[in-house]
Amino acid sequence: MAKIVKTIGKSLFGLPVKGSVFWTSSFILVLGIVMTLLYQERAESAFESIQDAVASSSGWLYILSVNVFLIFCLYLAFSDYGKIRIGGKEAKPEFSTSSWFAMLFSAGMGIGLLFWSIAEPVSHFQNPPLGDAGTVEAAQTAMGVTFLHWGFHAWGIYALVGLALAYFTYSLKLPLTMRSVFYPFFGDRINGWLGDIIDVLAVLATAFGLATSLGLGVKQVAAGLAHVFPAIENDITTQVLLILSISAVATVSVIMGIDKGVRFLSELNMRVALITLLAIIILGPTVFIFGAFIQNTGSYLGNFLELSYWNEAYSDRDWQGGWTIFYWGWWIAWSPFVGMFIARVSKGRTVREFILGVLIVPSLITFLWITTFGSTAIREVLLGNPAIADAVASDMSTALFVFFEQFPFSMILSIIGIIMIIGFFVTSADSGSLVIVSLTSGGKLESPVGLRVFWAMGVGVIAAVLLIGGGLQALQTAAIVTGLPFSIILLMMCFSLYKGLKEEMEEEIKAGKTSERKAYQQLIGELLAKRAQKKENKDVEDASPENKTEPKP
Amino acid sequence: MMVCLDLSEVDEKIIAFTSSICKLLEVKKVYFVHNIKINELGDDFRELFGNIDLSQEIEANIEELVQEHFQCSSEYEVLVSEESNTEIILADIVKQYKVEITLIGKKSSAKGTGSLGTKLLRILPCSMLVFPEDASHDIKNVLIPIDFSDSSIHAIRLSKSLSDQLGLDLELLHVYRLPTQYFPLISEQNAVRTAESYLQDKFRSLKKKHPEIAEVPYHLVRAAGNSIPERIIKHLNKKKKDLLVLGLKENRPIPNFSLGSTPISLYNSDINVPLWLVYSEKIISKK
Repeated sequence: MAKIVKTIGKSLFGLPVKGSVFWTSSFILVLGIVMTLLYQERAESAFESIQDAVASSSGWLYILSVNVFLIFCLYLAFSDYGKIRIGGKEAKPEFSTSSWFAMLFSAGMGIGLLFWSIAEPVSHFQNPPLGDAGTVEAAQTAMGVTFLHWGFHAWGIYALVGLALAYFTYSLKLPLTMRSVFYPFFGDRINGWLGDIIDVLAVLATAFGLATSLGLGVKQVAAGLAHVFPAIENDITTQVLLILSISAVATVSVIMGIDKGVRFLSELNMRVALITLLAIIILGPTVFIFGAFIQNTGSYLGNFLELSYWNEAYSDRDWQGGWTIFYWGWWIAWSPFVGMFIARVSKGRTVREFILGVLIVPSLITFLWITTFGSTAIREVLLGNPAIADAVASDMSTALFVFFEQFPFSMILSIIGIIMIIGFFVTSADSGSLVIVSLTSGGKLESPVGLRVFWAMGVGVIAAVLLIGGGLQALQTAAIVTGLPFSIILLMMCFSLYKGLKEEMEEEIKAGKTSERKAYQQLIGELLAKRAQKKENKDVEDASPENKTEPKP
Repeated sequence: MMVCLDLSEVDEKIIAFTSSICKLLEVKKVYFVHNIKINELGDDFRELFGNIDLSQEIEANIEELVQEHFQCSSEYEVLVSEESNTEIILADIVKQYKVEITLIGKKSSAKGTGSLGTKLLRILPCSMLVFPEDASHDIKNVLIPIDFSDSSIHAIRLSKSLSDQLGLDLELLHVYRLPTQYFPLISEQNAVRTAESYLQDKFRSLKKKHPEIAEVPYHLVRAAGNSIPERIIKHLNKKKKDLLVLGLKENRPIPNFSLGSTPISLYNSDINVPLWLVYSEKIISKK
């Protein structure tokens, strides 16, 4: 089945891009930007209407799809397909297990977690999907729902895309691009318009998913700066200026290249994040955090099925449209980005190792992070301190800094928080530009710096325009709307991956049996030949004149 | 005793080893067995060799090899079958002829997967003696890794009885791991001291309970960064042992979830000494 599929025949003005994908996606993005800027006032209500329409008509599809992805991943992990090694039987993992775990987590850790780890639990606590607000039950529900959004389902989406990309790239030697995953279905037709549509959707999903994260990050940085330096206004102008300046820093990182730029910053980000986490655990209510972590995890696991399938069927509220559906859309939009990254670092792992590693390790660390920040924030509210709850209600982007105020060294923590968000912004923009360049050039990773700068700045511009056009609402809508068609792509991806793995397994069994059969046939053949030769020699010996016996009289 | 032959060049060494074992152990009868994998002989093969009676030819071939290399007075019989499932037919032979021990050869991992051997380990209702192709017939020093279970004790007693008959030198080995959950609350040194003291006590009470093995020397070794099978192999090579004896526990119902048990790992490793895997009578009677 392995075939090398050509994806780039021609370059565009000397640039190694696939013209149909590059121009189509650029056109759609530019169109979106221009329309938003031109119809700024109507854009906000348009975004709200679109989000409501998608959530109310397709919410059930999102929930079903995400559950299907997770079940499919678990099936692959625990079936015989789990033994298949990515990259072939002889492939060895490139990184040690602990490094691999750290990289998996860093793939998912980012601006989103910093923004929502306090804002979300507190928001659910104040406005729970079920039951009364402000109660202990509301606190438990809030953490359970937050874990739902950041736990196994999210990582199930990344595991699916990452596994598909890793398998088709390393085992079947196809280019590292979304269209390669559909080779079992479409064969060489993935080189045509069908593949172009898939890659265009992937580019749009990545661009909007990234823009959503960058927009949230910039809102948080602006809020942090205004908090630490009250002279700075937290308004659209500040946010846009921040996007431009941080994007410029990201551009420098892009120019420096992966080894120096992104890698250095990623490692720094993770160290700073770990120190911050430990600081909060030590400075905060340590015993409570550990107890809450265990209880939250247990409650999540215990209510897993109910949480996974609930979709407000018997309610006329639209709570889920603003939360669960947004998250599923956002993760689906992010999946090419995260999937490509984890695919690149997972060669040599078995399918089982890959899926269980991607599902469990980052989820557990995320749960610890969310418990440390979110449960602690809820505890403050339960103890009668309204500051964090008020911050979440008025402006979610300030929640992190109001939270830090409850601790000693709050100024230092706030500055560290701002630096972390900027760091994640830069690495996301840098890595994101690499992913988009790869998608628009048929899987090539070596590309002119100019292209990467174009996309790094481009995603920043999209984030800025969405903020101008509709703020948080616009960002959420972008994620939900691009996630929807892409969820259909991912459903097809399940079938395609299954087909690919099935064929590989059948070939392996066949090859094993064929070589065993040949070896055994050879053994028997040699034995029979030897015996035949022996018999012949004996007959010749018996027939020789010296052996003739004299006839009896 | 049942000896499984696969018609490869290792068969001669296995038959010679069987001969030396039979002399030492006074084996009543030996069954030299081969199952012809009819399903793996394609139509083109059958066309080429026409109407040859394969069973007869293979039986005659094995008979010749046995006559050449089996220098022992024990009775023997050559059995050749043509069944699609080798493990099942071998298990039937073990039950039918009340075989107490099965001898199989093992090629190095470069030459074979050892997949049949692993299946036989799980299925056959008797003890197994695995003879690697590079092993020597000369057995003087025996290593018995134990974990203080009933199966280990059975292995020790069997080895002791062999040692009494044949004058072999025995050594018991226990490989331990330090539980990591106590670190860094207690120092490694203290943990090692505590663990070894506890295990010494276990050895003492084992010897008290089984006075016949009181004189058998034992060795405590920490696994450290290695797996238990790796540590056993290191000790085996360092002390130049000639035979490895392991007590087998009952088969787990879901073998796929037993992630590399010690006997299976040792079987799959490239060791150059025979490996004797013993089941107790109690377990064999259940199988």
